[in-house]
Amino acid sequence: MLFSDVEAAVEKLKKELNSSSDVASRIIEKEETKIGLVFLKSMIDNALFVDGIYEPIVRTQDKISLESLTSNIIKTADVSEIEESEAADKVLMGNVVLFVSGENKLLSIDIQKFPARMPSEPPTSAVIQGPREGFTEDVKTNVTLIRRRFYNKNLVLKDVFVGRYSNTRIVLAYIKGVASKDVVKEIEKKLGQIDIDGIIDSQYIIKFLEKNPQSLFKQVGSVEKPDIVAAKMLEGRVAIMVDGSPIVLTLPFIFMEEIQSSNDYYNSHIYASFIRIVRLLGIIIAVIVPGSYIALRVYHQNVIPIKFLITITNTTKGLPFTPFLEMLFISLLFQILYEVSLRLPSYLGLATSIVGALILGDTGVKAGLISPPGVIIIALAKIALYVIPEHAYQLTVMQYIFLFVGGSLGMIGIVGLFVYLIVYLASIDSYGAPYLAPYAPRVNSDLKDGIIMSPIQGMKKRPQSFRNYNKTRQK
Amino acid sequence: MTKAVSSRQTGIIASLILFANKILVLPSLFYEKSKADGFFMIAILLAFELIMLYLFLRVKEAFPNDSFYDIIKNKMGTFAAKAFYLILIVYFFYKVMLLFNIIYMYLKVQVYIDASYFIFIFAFLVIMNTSVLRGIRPIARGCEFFYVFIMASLVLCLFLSIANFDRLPFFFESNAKSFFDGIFRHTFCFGDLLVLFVIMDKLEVKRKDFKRIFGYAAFSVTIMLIIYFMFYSIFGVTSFVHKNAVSDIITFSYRFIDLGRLDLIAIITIMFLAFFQLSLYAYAFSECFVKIFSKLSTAYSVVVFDILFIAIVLSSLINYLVAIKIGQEFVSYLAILLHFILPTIVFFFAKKKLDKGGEK
Repeated sequence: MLFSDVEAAVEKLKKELNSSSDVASRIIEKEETKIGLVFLKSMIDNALFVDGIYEPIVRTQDKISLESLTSNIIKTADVSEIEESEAADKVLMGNVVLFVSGENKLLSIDIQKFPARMPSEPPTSAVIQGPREGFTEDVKTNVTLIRRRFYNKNLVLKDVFVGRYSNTRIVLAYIKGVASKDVVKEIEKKLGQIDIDGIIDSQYIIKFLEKNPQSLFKQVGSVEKPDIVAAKMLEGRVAIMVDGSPIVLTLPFIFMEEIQSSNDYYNSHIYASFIRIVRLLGIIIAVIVPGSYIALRVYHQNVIPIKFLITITNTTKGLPFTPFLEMLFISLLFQILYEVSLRLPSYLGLATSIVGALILGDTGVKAGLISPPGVIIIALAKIALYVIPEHAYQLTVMQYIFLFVGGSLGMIGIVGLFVYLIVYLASIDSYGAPYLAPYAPRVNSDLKDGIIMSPIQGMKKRPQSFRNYNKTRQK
Repeated sequence: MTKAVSSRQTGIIASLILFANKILVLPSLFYEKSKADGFFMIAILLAFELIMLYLFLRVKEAFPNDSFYDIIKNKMGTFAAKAFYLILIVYFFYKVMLLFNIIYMYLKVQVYIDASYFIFIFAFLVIMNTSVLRGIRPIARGCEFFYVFIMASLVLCLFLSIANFDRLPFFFESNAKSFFDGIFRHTFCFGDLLVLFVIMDKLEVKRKDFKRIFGYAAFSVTIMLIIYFMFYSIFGVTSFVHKNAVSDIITFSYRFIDLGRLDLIAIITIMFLAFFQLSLYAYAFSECFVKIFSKLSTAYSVVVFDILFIAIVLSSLINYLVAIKIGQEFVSYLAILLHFILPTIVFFFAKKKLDKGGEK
């Protein structure tokens, strides 16, 4: 359709956008030609609009046409011809849509800009040595952070838009020839099947990508740092960036990734191995110790060494609660304090810590409501939860389950639940990757990046635990 | 298509299942029959276990993709296959009852003095059901995950038992009749590798893996032989009193008294072993059930198993003593059929097939 009446076309588009208060338009008349510009004031770079689009059009002596605008006049990089039907979507994405009388197509000029923070070190992924950049909420920035790590044509970025109302941009990033085509297709298919009104954060799509969405255990990696994502992509994983989220998702995902940290690769492998063992111990302490303590006190006092038993008996004498209720009480007290301190301003958080941890804890012990061993066990377990801060919530739930099972079934319950957990985890697979690899099933070559880590030059192959191509990383 | 269980996992299953009910009460039962010569009894019976493993590997080589049921059905007819599988159902259920009762008695005496029976029923039943429903692959991976821990713990138990070792056992004190009668009467505690036959179509085992699988089984056999040797050495003439061999050999050591009860290592290891062994028996039960009643799903087999298990356990129809008595007086005869005759027959079918293949 030829645009003879540009004003009417502009009005039509504004109407299509429900005449929202941030929709703006300009009509420029150049001799016989009329040029209409429609954009969102809230979503564009105003300086670039003036210097790169408006001024050049007003000042040009050339004859105005789509071709001359694209090639000579407009001074921004991203200009494309579009159909009228695409106009509204483009405007909503921060593009300036340009009508020219007598033309049957429109121009879309991408000058999107909105308030965004600069890449900074994420609070949960701090490193002593190594890159300190973190992802931001702007997907364009995140794409740049990835792109600048691969000066290679095989880095593939694919856009998918999800959300009936939010129309959120999701970018799939992978290295062609390294990532498995099947995995990429499977992820694209899953994303394509999402029918939801809006995607606010990458955590929204995690459940759509997981094969066991009911599971407590996450089956999608979530990363806040571009160096880690780049390393995972080099292993053959696919990264999924969601506009509006500083968390980038990676697939396939295995449990071992929870133990690994970017710090490990920037330090001596011997120290990294030690720290990985500590992390694993931390997980075990966090999950099992409170339940085991109750099991020992309730069912198996005869296996506690006599000196410990005397200490425990002396300190728990006269407590009004059963061991299980006592531990549950202390544990819930900690949980409440934690939730409160998360939401309070920092100046009040300190006061809460003092009142909660010192006054309540100390007074509770002195009043004979709770015992010192109970407080120590829970404090130890609760601190240990944060060896992997991003997974503390899973471990917290597991801690309560073990607490309950230890109190009701004793050691056999603890061991049984542990076996159940492993059998359950062993049955999960994430896009072809066995969840407990490289330990169950054992994948010998991947053990080099297991709990005991080899030096980087020893890791000559890409991980074999999941599907990928081009197995050799170094010769 | 990749099979559910790798050759390494097959070796690990073979290794772990061999321990079933052999390292707790059996050494004392052997001692009652033929004193410290029980060591030779276990050596002979374990040699038979390794022979059974050899037969299994040859059968697997000849019929790499067939199930045990299909082999019997193709060679001996559907009726024979169903009849054998019916016997196997009874056999595996008995194995579950035997092991459950042995473990129950063991834990009751050691760490659950005042605990209710229901704790054990609940804990074991939940794990068995979950494992069966999730399939053999997660069970195999679970075994693989804990294998190093279990074996390291058993080796540690043996190492700690050295502190109690102060004399060699007195051998050759029994007569031939009681010796061979003892072997025959206690075959019910063996034949655990039959599980491998039942799940053979889910195993990825090639000829080159035979040595590796044999290695895993041989390692378990070695550990068991050392446990028996240490047991008879440490307890001598009082061996018949000690019903929890692997635990008792480290319990009575004054040298480690300050460390508390070291047998906790054995107790936890036995718990892990029991969970996996019971899961494997329950899975074998389910496999046999589904083969006989091909129209019913695994879930049905689990329901039937649970009803039988709960009914028998709660009615005390099969308790610890009854389970051993049934084993000595009835299952030992059944064992001849299942441990020796059936694998041998299938082995000859396999051999015939392999020889034919060789001629080509």
